[in-house]
Amino acid sequence: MTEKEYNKSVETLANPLFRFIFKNLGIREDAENIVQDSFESLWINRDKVENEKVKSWLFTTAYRKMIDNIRKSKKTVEMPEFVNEKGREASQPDLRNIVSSALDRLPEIQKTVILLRDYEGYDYAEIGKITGLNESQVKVYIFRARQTLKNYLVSLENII
Amino acid sequence: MKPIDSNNIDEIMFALLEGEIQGDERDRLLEAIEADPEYKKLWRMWQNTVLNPDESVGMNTASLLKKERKKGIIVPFRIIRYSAAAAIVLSVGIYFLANTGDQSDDLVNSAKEPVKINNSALPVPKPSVNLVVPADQTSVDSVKPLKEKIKNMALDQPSENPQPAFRNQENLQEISTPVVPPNIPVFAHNENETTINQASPASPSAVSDIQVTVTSYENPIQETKSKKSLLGKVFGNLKVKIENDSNTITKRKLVIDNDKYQIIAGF
Repeated sequence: MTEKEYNKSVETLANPLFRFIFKNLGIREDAENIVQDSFESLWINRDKVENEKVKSWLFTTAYRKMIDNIRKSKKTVEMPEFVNEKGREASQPDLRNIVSSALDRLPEIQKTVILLRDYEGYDYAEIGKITGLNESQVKVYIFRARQTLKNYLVSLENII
Repeated sequence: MKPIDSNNIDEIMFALLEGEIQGDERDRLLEAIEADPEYKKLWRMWQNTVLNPDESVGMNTASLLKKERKKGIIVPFRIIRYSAAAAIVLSVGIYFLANTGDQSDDLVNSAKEPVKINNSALPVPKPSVNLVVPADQTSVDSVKPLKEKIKNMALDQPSENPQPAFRNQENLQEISTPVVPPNIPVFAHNENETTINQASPASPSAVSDIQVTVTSYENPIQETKSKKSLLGKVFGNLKVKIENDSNTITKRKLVIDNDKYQIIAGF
């Protein structure tokens, strides 16, 4: 990987990686630190990483650092900052906020796999490589995650 | 294909959502779901579980992650060391040449007749009168009558404490006189050549190992003392070279030449 390719990967992958980590951790500073560490590791190992596999390499590295961070801190997950499409904080609970609050209730592994699936479009095999799971396990975790989210939405609708 | 019921509705909707069911089967299932209000509501809930990234959320310092290498020339440290050493040597040499230039200007302008002194123990290729300036002949004022004194000295009888005779070329009168101290400069008049030999300070009878010849040119550039600059003194037309000389110990001699003087040092 050349310096130019590295800088290109920063432009294209820094924000998506940050959103993935931030969605999992809920703490902006920790998410930025993990992203910085991941790119620094990429720079150090740029001779070993092929340009075509940069995205999966970065997400794998960031995921492992995120898990380490969670194990070390065991902090309470803060509510992420959400802004609606018009750039204003939602005064009324909209669907995105409800889903996000439901997401925070998921176990870490389920949250990770569903974020990789929906945010980055990874298939089961790629998610398995990043998280160290096999395809069957990934599928099961995604199903359980969606089912939990669905049940939460149904319960809210029944209340409303 | 098994029918949709409450036991498999979640699995079927999940499969539809993940894209595992395609084609005609997908169309048929969707028609069945749309036909039932409860299934339709449930299908909408399943669709809301698909997350969409919030593009407004981003990393503010992402641009700082880029690597930008500064282009430049890497100079090896050893070159820097050699350059520093060369600069020091050059500075010392310039200082030395500049200071010797000041003294020579005054004495050259005041001397009228050539003075030739050879105090060297080394053989001199050309016959010349070997004269030694006594130790007391150091002041500037003594330069004028110096010729006469030297002539007289050459004809004088040996002193009470005779010094070893110098090995000189043929047809020269040997002189038993005290060895010239190493710090007595004798500068030549125009068109004349002065050879200064610095004896070793170890003992009067020690053999000198450095022979220095200072020659002034006929028409040196006349400059007032106050207008001279260091660079003008040294870098007028300064030439430094090393030539072969079979009469020296190392078979080499250093020649330094500028607009006014030519300094030849055998070593």
